[in-house]
Amino acid sequence: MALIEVRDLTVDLPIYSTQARSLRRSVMKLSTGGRLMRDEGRVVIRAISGASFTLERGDRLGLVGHNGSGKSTLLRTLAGVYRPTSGTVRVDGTISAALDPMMGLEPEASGLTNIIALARYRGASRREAMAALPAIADLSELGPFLDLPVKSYSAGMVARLAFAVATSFEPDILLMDEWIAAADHAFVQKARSHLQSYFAQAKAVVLATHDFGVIQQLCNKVLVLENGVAQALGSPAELLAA
Amino acid sequence: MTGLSGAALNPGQELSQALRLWPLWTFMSWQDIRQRYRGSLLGPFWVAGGVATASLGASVLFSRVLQIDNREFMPFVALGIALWSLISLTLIEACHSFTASWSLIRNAALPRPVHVLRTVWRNLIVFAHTLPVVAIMLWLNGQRLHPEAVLALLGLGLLMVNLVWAAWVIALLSARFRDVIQLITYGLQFVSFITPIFWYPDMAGRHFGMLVLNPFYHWLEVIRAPLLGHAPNPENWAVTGGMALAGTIVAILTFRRYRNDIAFWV
Repeated sequence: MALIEVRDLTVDLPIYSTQARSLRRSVMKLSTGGRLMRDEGRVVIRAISGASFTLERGDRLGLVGHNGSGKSTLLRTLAGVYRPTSGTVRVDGTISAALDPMMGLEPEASGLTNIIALARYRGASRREAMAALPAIADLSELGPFLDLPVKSYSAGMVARLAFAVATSFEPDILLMDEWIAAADHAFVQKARSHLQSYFAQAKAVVLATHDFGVIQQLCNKVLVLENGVAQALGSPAELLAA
Repeated sequence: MTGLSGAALNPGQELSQALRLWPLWTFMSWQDIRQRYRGSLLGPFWVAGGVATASLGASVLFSRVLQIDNREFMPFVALGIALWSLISLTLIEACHSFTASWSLIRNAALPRPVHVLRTVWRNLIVFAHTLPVVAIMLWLNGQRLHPEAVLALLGLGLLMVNLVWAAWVIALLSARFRDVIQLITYGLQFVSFITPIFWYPDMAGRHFGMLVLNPFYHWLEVIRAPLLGHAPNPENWAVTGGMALAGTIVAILTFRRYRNDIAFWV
């Protein structure tokens, strides 16, 4: 049975302007039967349009495409943040989503406190989070900085922290937006080799990236997105050759 | 195996997962409190100090203005203020339940109700910190617990159900419309005057019929009355219980309808 099954997926994203958030305007809209200001200030973007694919156990899918091509929307839909406008998404298993390194960070709290919180946002119990703490601290290589508030961290240090937490638990499915690029070269090298062993444990991985090197090294399938339309699905060798 | 179910959940499953994740939202509530009172001397006991000073001031003033016995009035005011703080702070902070957690809402596979339960639980913890002060004020004024006091636990349970659904609806509205927080804040200020916190319900006189229409009066009464040694009226129970039921249904319906929109509103 497929681990992830996406069929004819379409996702529309409404964008609300300041006007659309006004209570007064909405009340006026009600009283005028909606004729006067229909959908004023509300734009709908079709972020994913009719995408279909299935992932089996062991699949590691790389998502490629320009900025705004729908990679992040697809990841968010798999994570349950967005629901399909039409079509279906079936996910069989637990998910860990690493979409934004800043997710859930408490800038005033220490790195260690944030590690515990981030682990728990991924569904880890108190005990699991505490047990994983030394390994996460080790992987992040932040050492004594972990006692300092996260607001004193650089972007690269934040990326290290978030990466270490995101890849230290074993979900069935790992969803990842490749923001690790913010870290320095040495850490990126370490992160790749860590990801390789980590990917081997996860049952399925979906990774959005601009780096073909990462895809060749880590993925066995590639989905090319353009303006929300799935252009091609195949192995890295096939697609990158073309 | 660690992780959340994300896109695999239908609305019913998401609701039940939200409840089963109680270790997470109680953890988040405690984190909030630690964060808010970091480096503060009294921490959440500052709220208890607020309740103490407000009840002392109000009971001294109003017992003279209204010419009533302060020993009887002070326990009434202390309980009223503590409970009103719980209700009003929960409903005001509910305006930020979704907007303050936007980064988790847009990036994590967490069930949506978790963010609201976190707000309500946080305020219940703060309320618990005011209880020793209230107990002391009751005891000093010769107020002892009667067997009826057990009913207050049932009352508190019903109040919590009411606060959860109301906080959900407010969080939703406030994520969609930026004016809601002002409406709630000033609306509650008005309600605090027409609700018997600083005056006895029977002082409403010929306006008692209007008082009965104020749900907050019933919410207060099912907890305050038993602790002061008399059972609440049947209509106090009926309104509080009925609203708990009806409100929960409204919350579930709005959850089904608007759940997906929250990520776009925050």
